[in-house]
Amino acid sequence: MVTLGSDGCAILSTVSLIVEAEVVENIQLANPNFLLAVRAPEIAANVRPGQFVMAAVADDLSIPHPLLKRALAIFSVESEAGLPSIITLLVKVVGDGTQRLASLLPDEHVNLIGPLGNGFSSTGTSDRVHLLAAGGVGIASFYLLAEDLRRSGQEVHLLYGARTAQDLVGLEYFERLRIPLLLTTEDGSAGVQGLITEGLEQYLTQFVDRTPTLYVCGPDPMMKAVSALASLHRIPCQISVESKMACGFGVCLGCTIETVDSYQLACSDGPVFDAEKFIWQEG
Amino acid sequence: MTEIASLAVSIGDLRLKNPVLTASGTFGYGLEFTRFFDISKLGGFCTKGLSLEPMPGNAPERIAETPAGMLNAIGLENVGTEQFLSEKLPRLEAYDTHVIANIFGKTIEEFIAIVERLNPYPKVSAYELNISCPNIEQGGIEFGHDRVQTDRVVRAVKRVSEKPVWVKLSPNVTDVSAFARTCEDAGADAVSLVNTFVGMSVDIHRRRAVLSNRSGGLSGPAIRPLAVRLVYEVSQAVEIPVIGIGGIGTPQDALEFMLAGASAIQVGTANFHDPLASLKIVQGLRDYCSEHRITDINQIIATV
Repeated sequence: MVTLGSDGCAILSTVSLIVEAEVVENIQLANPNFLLAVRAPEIAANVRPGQFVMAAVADDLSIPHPLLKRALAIFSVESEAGLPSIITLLVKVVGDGTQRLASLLPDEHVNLIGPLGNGFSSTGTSDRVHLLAAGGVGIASFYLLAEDLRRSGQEVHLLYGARTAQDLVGLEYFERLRIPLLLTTEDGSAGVQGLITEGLEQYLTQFVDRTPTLYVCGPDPMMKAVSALASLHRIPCQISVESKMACGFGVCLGCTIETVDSYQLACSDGPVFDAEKFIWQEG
Repeated sequence: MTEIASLAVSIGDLRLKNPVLTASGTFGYGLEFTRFFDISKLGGFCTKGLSLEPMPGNAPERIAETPAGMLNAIGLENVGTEQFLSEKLPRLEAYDTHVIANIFGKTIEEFIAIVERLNPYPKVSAYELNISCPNIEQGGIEFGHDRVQTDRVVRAVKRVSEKPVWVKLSPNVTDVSAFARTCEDAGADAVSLVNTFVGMSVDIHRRRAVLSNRSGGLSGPAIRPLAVRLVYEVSQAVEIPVIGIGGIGTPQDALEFMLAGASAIQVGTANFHDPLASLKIVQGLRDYCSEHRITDINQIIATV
């Protein structure tokens, strides 16, 4: 059941729900990453590629620890009995909040708000080429996008870079989509040794006549470098950014990022922004 | 059949259907929460602090999580009074709840200009003067930390205001009660407290302050006992109603403040991690009253 806000403003055109969802599975990927699968049909039915949820362990503590929910990209949607039902969330353990989410067992519960954010805009025609550039757990934003683009018959390439082979998480999902993959690792333990930008340069030259679109999600230095390349080749580029957020739905105003036009909110104006308009912070 | 308790309270002449409000800066302009629940179920809400002109706020980083709380230095980002009137207020007409305009000026003249601009709109039920924002170099802090300035701004606003005037007090002073008395003497209809406590977090890896503003305002459950004690003291010191704020996230928290002296409460940081917190508190107050055979919630206010 879709419950829309009674008020029709743009920010509310996104359906967002507050749900308590049951953990179906919590798969340990390469340390320190987990893929948490939860049953949240209301969210699964409404999610667009590039959107996220705010998540916390559902427990009986009178004061939640940590206090704030954590923003997690929705990695994939799986169906049960033919209907979208389960969402998976890629959790990289970095602190107490993600540690608690990573420790969840089947039948335990999470509190979720979502789906949130604008998501990618991928209204390309079928003769276009879509290049997805992921760094590390930035991959979390791309599975749904790749799946959507493939389903509509478009050409998708994934360029995926990480420090080592074991940091390339969730690869098997993309292999299932049968899309061409270019893998790079900094230590050369998988794919090509080096950074994603080096391989990307070749792609951009190769597809220059087919108006490629670039989508980027990863650590800031990587996104900054890829954006610079896109700008150089005059290729439209969407970046999915990460920022600390207290609420995730546009009221705490904590997740501000800077664009050439104004301050914008990573949660409700983003997390996807036009790379051309984004102003990178120093250090 | 248990009688359903009356939750209605009065803040001066303003009657609230229940004592649950939401705090400025944690509830947007109200509209952002209409997708989660019917905000008509609340006694009212305080808008994001409004200035005369739109304000962009501080550079990132603006927030940091801390034990049982968070620091913020948003820097009063807001759409400004005109955009509030043209884009937000008309859409709030649909909701049967009090809209409390939290307002902020860099000068007394700006406070007056905002009040005169908002006065003609019946949907604005009262003003809450923000004289206590800790995150702005000029303005808030000077009014809120100086009783002479507090007196001047409250008197000036009272002279032009056609609505009740509440004053939101800073806890970052030696004697909050003295400021509350100053507000009362200047004609304030109520005081709300507390605003955030000034705090700071350091990033040990980057070896610098987490927030771009260096310091920020601490909110959340971490400040609750500090706030309860201040509400208790201030409610003993003044006759005007006291509105309790500070780490309220559950019905039990709200009751603590009301027993200690608050006629109404504001839910703040809890709105971020539990958008339904304020709604749950309304229901929880009703349950508490029926469990304790309280027919009117006013019976418990300031009984500690």
